[in-house]
Amino acid sequence: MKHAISLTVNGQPHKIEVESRRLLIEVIRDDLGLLGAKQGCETGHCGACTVLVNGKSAHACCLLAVQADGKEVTTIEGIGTRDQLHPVQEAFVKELGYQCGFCTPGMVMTSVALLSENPNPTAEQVRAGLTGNVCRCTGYIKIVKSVLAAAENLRAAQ
Amino acid sequence: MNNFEFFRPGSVHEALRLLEEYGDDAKLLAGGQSLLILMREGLVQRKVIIGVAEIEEMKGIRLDQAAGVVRIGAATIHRDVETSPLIAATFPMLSEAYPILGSVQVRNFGTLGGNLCHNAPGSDPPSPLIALGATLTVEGPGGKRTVCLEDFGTGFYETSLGSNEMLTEVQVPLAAARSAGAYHKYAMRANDMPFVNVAAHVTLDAARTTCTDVRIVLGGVASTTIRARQAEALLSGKRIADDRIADAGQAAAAESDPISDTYASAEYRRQLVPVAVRRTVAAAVERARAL
Repeated sequence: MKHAISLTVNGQPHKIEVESRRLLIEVIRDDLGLLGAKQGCETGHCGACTVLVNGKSAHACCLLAVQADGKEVTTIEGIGTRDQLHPVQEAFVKELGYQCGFCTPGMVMTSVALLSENPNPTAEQVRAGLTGNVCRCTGYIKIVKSVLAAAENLRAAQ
Repeated sequence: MNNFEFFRPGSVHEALRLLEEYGDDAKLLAGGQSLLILMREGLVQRKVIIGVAEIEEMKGIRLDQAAGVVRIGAATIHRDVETSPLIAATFPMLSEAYPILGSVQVRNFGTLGGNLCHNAPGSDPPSPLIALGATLTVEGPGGKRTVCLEDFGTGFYETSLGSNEMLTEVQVPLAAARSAGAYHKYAMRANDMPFVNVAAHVTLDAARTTCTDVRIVLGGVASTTIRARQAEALLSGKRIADDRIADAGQAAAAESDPISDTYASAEYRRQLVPVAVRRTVAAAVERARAL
């Protein structure tokens, strides 16, 4: 069964025809060509597919595209540009919160949502907030440091 | 996944009509954080999927003082239960079970009703809710019926929900004075399903030396969440004593029937139950004493 769905992705409205069984991650990557969100575990554990839906972090591999009909989706491509990185991206670069980079878009998106809900988190709260994002390379220490640094910079900018 | 038809009814009435029309060919989808994984793995396949996550009348958390319950709509997302000031103030044990359920991403879309109907062994919400004496409203073509949550789960991923019925609301009764609960979860990693969980809820007498009511609920040690009734009987109406609590732990272990799986062996679970029960009951008692 096909559905005509309306998605706003990174501020741009899209009208797409999708089969009911298409997943949001497939539509984002294959139909819209946004390759930042990754397909890792495909079972809602690793968080490499994390995007924001109406500002809330989501495993895009665990949502049908039709579940996002009428909603706003934000991907890593939507939060900053090469010339003007988002403060969270800046912090990840400065603090070296990445190695291979596969988990990084997901880590950044979850962190953006986390900081919008809690602008002054403790390290413990950052760790708890990132349980849905798995990293094989870094051991997480510099990821947590990056999020805390981003939090500080965002607070200072206000 | 198979090429299923997808409907998004705007009301319970419409959803029930669709269920009646499609029967066993249909399945309800709430947040999809459990069901979609099964569908992706090919373990569940239906011709029709009925999306109920957006039905407004099934969302929300409110106090119904007259009925002496807090009502939670079945389509309420876990994140809203987790962050609800009403739940934190009224049922601290329930509030505590949430931050360690899955991940934020899962809790942003997974619903309480979906979780209870999925009934995965070891799942977090059923244990504290059964310990609190929660009831459910189930609606079908014959109207509404009330079910005790402790009777709802019938086995491994099975509940007493009929194929033409849907869960619409959870009611959590306000606890008596001098009551408190505790919930402990044991899992390999932060966002893993628990391999053992324990919820304990106690009510103390005025002298705070005796348990007038006690509920001990275990998850992950049987095909569904269970009340350890023999363990409870050792404590209910009795003076609180460490050796009594330890005996209750042993009784609970005897009532458990765990299996070995990816997360933990049956032996480990059986060894863990008396320790977990002892700790959780002691924590509940300490909290109740402090009230």
